[in-house]
Amino acid sequence: MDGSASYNDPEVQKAMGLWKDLVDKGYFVANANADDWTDAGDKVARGDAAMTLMGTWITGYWNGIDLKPETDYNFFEFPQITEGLPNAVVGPVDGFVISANAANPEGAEKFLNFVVSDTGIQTKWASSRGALSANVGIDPSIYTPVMQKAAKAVADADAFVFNYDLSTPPPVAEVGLSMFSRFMDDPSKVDAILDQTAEDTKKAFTE
Amino acid sequence: MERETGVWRLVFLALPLGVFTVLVIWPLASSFYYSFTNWNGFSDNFEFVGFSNFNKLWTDKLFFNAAVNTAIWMVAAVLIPTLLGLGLALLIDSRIPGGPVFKSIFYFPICLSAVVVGQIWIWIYQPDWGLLNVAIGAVTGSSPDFAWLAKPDTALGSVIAAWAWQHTGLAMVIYLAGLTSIPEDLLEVCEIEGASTWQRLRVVIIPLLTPATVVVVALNVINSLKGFEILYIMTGGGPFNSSDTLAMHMYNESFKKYLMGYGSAISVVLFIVALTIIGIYFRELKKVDEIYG
Repeated sequence: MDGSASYNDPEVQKAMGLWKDLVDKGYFVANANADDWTDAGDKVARGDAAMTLMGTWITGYWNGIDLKPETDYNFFEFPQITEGLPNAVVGPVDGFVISANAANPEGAEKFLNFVVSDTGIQTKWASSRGALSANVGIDPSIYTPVMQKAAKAVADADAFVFNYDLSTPPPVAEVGLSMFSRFMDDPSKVDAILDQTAEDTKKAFTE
Repeated sequence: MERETGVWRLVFLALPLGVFTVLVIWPLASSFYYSFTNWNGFSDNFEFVGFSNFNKLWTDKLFFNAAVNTAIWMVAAVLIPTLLGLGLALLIDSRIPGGPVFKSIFYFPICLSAVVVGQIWIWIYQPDWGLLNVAIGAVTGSSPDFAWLAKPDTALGSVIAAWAWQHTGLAMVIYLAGLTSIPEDLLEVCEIEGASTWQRLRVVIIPLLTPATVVVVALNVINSLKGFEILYIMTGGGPFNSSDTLAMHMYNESFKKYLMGYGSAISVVLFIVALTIIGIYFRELKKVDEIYG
């Protein structure tokens, strides 16, 4: 994420090799690059696909098309591949920020503290957005059974890491995200794609 | 009296000139200014970096990829609607049954916004149930699931087809108007002299349609230079930059990578290219005007 590792390091090659293995076995839908996350969600909803790798917000989408949590869709954690490694969950965090030139920074800070610590507000916030609240003090029963599982996964995790495209500078994320779709288009070229990505990201880190 | 008229002219011109300055001149000048900076698009802190954004263009392979795609886009976006529009106009002018109905149908897409056209064609190209694959399947007896917009070899061509579908109607209507100005007796003389259809077309009709061609090409050149929305809607420049044009590349660098200074440098290049093309075009237009009055 910070440029200290390269995209063609053995660890990345191993991870992409595992991914390629899944593609080669036919576990992905055809033309995966043609689908955005709602297309993928629709395929799961219709039964054309068994699962999709997506954030908790997809539950809001499925609830909106009248799917029932646990009955029509469910959640499981990404299986552990290498035993003994700490279990990490991945996700973005919606943050509130105060402008550097704010007229009343102390007042703004107090307000933000109130918004994130008041369980009533956080309950409304989480239920209206279909997301998990960062405040662990709120009553878990406000979540659907599927979201309760997701909350438990986050609570039990050894580490919480920010998702890929938001953890690395935007020019590097553009190169990396393009690499994923290039790989899905032709997984047999994985080594050449990683070499090219390593070269392109080196340049992107200097932008 | 003359002086008073001049004052009124200035008064009436002040409002449109003011709007033009705010919406065109000011952003244009800003782009030139920011192209010499490393501004990220929102911070107050940025520095002047001289020509380094322009120097970077030479080593940016995505810029060259976008420049090639822009050239392909411009040639196709001008040629295809022009030729199809001419063909349709000749067909409809030959008094085929239902001509006026076809004219309305072919003209209709130009009334739609690029966003609507893009969405219609996304559905047509949809791999599993899109009209194109279903039609190919019906003809060949197979079940194709080709992802036209998600494959690098077909993405740009697929958007060009959607663009041509929208803009052919306009060319057709202009050519139809041009065809009405060709004297009937001239065509009758050709028939009496035994000229074939192809000879009549090549020697009489197409040369006499030159003023209409000038208008059609001018509109298509200007529209193709502005052609950003349909690419943004249909492919966003992807997959992996295969349908990136200079306008898309500028947008991605400025608003996705937050390299506003570099994006501004690309916009300056695009502006110079557009200005050159339009300059050459107007020079040629003047020559045509002198011949045809």
